Amino acid sequence: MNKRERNRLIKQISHASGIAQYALKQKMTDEEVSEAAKNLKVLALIKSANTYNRYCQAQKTKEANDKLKAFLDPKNSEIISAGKWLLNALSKEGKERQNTLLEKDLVHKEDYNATTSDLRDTISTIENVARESTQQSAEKIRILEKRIDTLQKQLSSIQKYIQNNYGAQVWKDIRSKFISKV
Amino acid sequence: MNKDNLKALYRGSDINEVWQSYQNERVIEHPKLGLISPNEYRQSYHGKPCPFCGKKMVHGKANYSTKSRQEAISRGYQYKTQNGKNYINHAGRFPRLYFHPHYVTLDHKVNKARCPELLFEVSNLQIMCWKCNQNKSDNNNFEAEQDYNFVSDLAREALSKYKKL
Repeated sequence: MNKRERNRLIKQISHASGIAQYALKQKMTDEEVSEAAKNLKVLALIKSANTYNRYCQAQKTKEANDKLKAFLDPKNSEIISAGKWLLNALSKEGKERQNTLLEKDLVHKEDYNATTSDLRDTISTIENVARESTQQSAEKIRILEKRIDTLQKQLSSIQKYIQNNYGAQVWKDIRSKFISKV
Repeated sequence: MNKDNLKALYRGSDINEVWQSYQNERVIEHPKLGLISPNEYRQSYHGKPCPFCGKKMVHGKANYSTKSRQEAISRGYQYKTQNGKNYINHAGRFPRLYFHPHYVTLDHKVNKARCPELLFEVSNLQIMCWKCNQNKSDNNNFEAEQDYNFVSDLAREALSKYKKL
């Protein structure tokens, strides 16, 4: 079969079956082309099914392409959105930053709570010791003040008694001997 | 002045009399200011902050006292004591003088009525404003209580800052 004849028959087969000429040229021998050309009516019977099959395949390919596009789109990337969220959280300060990180469990909450708990216990202990110490010193001071007041009253009475009964000079002597030098 | 004689002062009136009579005598041996009188000691703290409340202290009767109670109130000398009563610092009877709330005073750490031998000892003297002195009264545990209040405030601040998550 010459080339011209082969092309003419392939054109007929393609028209009848709906299969593209390049595929027929590529895959069919001269004998097969000759045989198929004798059964064009039969091939025409499967043309619509064949067209529908290609339509469905095209749809599936489109769907797969769309998914691939969506997957590659940076807007839909979980890694990129997580990175953006993290940068936003880290740009905040203090309590706001802590609370934002806490929402995603990014703060070592248990470690922090354990440390905080120890710190709070220590602070409370120091405060209690300081309070008790202050109360104790107040009590000691109260006792000593009371004792000083008693001794002062006693000495004041003794001074008065000596001055009245033995004279001011005697008190002066007693003061210089027993009080002032001590 | 024979400081040994201070040891034999037993009556509050005697102790006060000695204290008042030496207000302008140089009887305090200050390590930095030298030998100074109680009044000079007070004067040197004019315009400086009270070590207890931090308020600026004043000194000078002419500018910071008045004989009139009404004038004292209008000048803002009246304040509330710890138990919530209105009070104006005052001294003397005839005439009575009303003073600025943060007028400089010279306080005895251990009160002079109980330890007259420390009357002019610089280690037993401390400057504070009149209001703080009024608040201290004759409390010999005042400094310890002030320190405790400071520690307590720090503790409260720390506990409110480091709460559990």
